[in-house]
Amino acid sequence: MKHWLKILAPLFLFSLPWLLGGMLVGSYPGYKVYEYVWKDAGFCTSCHVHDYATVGWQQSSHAKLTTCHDCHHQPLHEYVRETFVLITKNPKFPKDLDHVPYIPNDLCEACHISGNRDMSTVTGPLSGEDVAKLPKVDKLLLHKIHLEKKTKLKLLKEVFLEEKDRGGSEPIIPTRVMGEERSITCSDCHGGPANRGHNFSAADLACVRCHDDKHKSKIGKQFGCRNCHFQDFLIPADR
Amino acid sequence: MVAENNKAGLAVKIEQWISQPNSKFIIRLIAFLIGIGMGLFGVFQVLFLYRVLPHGGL
Repeated sequence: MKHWLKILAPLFLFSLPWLLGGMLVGSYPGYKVYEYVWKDAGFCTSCHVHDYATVGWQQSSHAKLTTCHDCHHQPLHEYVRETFVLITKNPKFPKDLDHVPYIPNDLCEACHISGNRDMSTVTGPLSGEDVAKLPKVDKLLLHKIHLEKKTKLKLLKEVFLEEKDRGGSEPIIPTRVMGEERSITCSDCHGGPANRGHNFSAADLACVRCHDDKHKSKIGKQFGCRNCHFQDFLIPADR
Repeated sequence: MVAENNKAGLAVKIEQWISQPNSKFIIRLIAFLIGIGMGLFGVFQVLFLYRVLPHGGL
């Protein structure tokens, strides 16, 4: 053992500067790999090709402004579990996704609510200054009213999706199953059943989930909700 | 006894190889390449864990 130490110790000391030099050189490509994996949607979309999520995201206003990891956060063990599930069950989406994805409000709030929000997880191309310029929904009239209201409709994530509703391009009619009273969440209207997340534009189907008793005449059916009410979601609340 | 002799023989061979002038270059090259690998993987791993661990570990 001592004999080996006598050989290896000077060998290690001799090669240490070169090892450290290599580490210094390797750290830059290491950072570039991290940047590609974490901040570039191209990394994710290289496997998630032409699936509904990629297409939905690319068609949305978030496409050039966000990356996947802005919203997709999960603990370390989930990466391990996902790999295991991928190998053993190989699920296909959207046909194997039996619920509407749940988007917690704090993900949206990082960019879309006024005040100092936790933006530590936002890694997209927008700078802090750009994010500050985005419309803040708590300052916009109909958004503010909705955020202050309660509903008894169950969260969409708690509703089981029938197999016939999981695929295709047809929007899913949102369910009206009642539960306990709760605040309205962003995903009740944005990225709901009509577009299964990833494309976050609100759909008329989300409005009629609560407002089904309004405009029973032909007007509602002919023009839809947002033709008249869209601008009220964007005008300042304090006007 | 035979195994000990073999080990000693190997150590002597390595010692002899190290003392050759050409081997110094190879040792440096290997150390440099290992360093690049360690730097690349290490920086990536530290930054990745920095992003992921706030959401939960194993």
